[in-house]
Amino acid sequence: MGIHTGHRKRVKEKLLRQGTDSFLTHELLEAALFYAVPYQDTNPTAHRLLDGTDGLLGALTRDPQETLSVLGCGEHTAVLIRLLGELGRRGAAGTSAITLYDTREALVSLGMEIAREEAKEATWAVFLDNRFSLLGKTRIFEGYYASASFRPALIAEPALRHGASMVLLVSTHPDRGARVDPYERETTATCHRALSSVGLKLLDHLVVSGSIAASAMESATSRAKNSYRFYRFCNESLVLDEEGFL
Amino acid sequence: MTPFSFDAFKSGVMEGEIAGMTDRALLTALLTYGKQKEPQETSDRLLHTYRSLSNILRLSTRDLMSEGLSTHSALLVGLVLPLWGRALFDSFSLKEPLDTSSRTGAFLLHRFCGERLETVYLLLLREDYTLLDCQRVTTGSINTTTLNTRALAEAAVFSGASYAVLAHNHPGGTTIPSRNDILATQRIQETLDTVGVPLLEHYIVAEGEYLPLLEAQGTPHPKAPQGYYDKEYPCISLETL
Repeated sequence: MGIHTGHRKRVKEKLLRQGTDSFLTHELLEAALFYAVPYQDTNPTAHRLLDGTDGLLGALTRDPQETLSVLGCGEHTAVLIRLLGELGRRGAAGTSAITLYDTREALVSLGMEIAREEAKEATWAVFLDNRFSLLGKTRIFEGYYASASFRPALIAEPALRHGASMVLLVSTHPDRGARVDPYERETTATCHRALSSVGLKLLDHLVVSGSIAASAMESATSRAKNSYRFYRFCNESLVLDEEGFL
Repeated sequence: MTPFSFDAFKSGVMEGEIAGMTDRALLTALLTYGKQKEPQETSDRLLHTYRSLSNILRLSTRDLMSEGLSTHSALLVGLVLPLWGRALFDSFSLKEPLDTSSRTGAFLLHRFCGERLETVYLLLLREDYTLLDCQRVTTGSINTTTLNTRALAEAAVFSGASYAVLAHNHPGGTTIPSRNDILATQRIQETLDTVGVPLLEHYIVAEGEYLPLLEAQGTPHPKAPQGYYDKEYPCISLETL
């Protein structure tokens, strides 16, 4: 068995474990070339790409026909290199439109979107940066709230991992209406305090049932604990209904 | 929507048509290279959830895997921005001095490209303001409790640098500094002055923009070279934050 046996597996494990920071540029390129060259050693190709007159930037943005002739590689490889360059350019420039969830309408609509895809009673945490753009979402647990042993760390840990500044909680109630129960109200207040202590802002905790949502945060801060307010969309605009709507 | 054809995609790229292709086509092609099952559906789902290519490419491998990507394809997606960031960084000529704010700013925009988390860099400059070293100091928010000022002082002294420049990013945010940014700068300035490596400036980088904090506060370092601030920057004061 040669010393290079299992090389690709080791590289992938290292990428998973340590990320890209500990890799030299030619090693990163070598790893990317694995995807176009299934069996051969990609190290020489990576070096040839870097040694060109314009370095890596030139290699990633060069016309693929030219890459073919300079590198003597196959079309499959030349296309991948050009694709990586174009994706990098677009991704870094952020040229695509970014949706900002900076209004109550946008947040409620996001909550309803999650509820549409969630068949069970569950709670999701949505992570946003300080510009209100979506960083990710995680299903933090499934089941009825009171039955789950809820800990704020369930939210704080993934939020920090995402580099989030703000969090939106969405609890889905597919079968029992968008009514905030006392346990949800209490947990919202606990989460709000716990997340602030690690520099995270809890934007809201929406309880969603179908196309109706209620804010557990409003409910937690409301003086009249028994009054409920529900959000729904009517002709694409958000409408607030007082108790009795359901 | 038109079904994706990998062969047609490759022919299009070979004919120089990639710039006119949609984000969806590009992402689907990348997932096809990653041998992702149902690449088109996965690409549509990711674009629907995260709304932009930029957001998807900034996801961690773990997050991509939780969105249903195989490890193999998640690792490929995760390589795009780091490779592009290296390409930009390598294209920057480090022989020329970082003796103006716009040149330092351009260098930092390259350095922070694709950085997902708040990261702090310490730039160490020679007497002629050319770059001696660029060290990643910490990842996470900048404040005096997480920043080890002794480590900064050691890095400055051991490198033999004449000047230091600090920089950190606000991923997905604006260049407006926080109170912590300002307080930490004062503390680091004192530390580096003590060891004789003056902190010329502290830059905040966000979304293609940068702000030299000391200049914005109206307290530029007296050792900054003549004509260092070759652009106008907004004014910031601690009282208004």
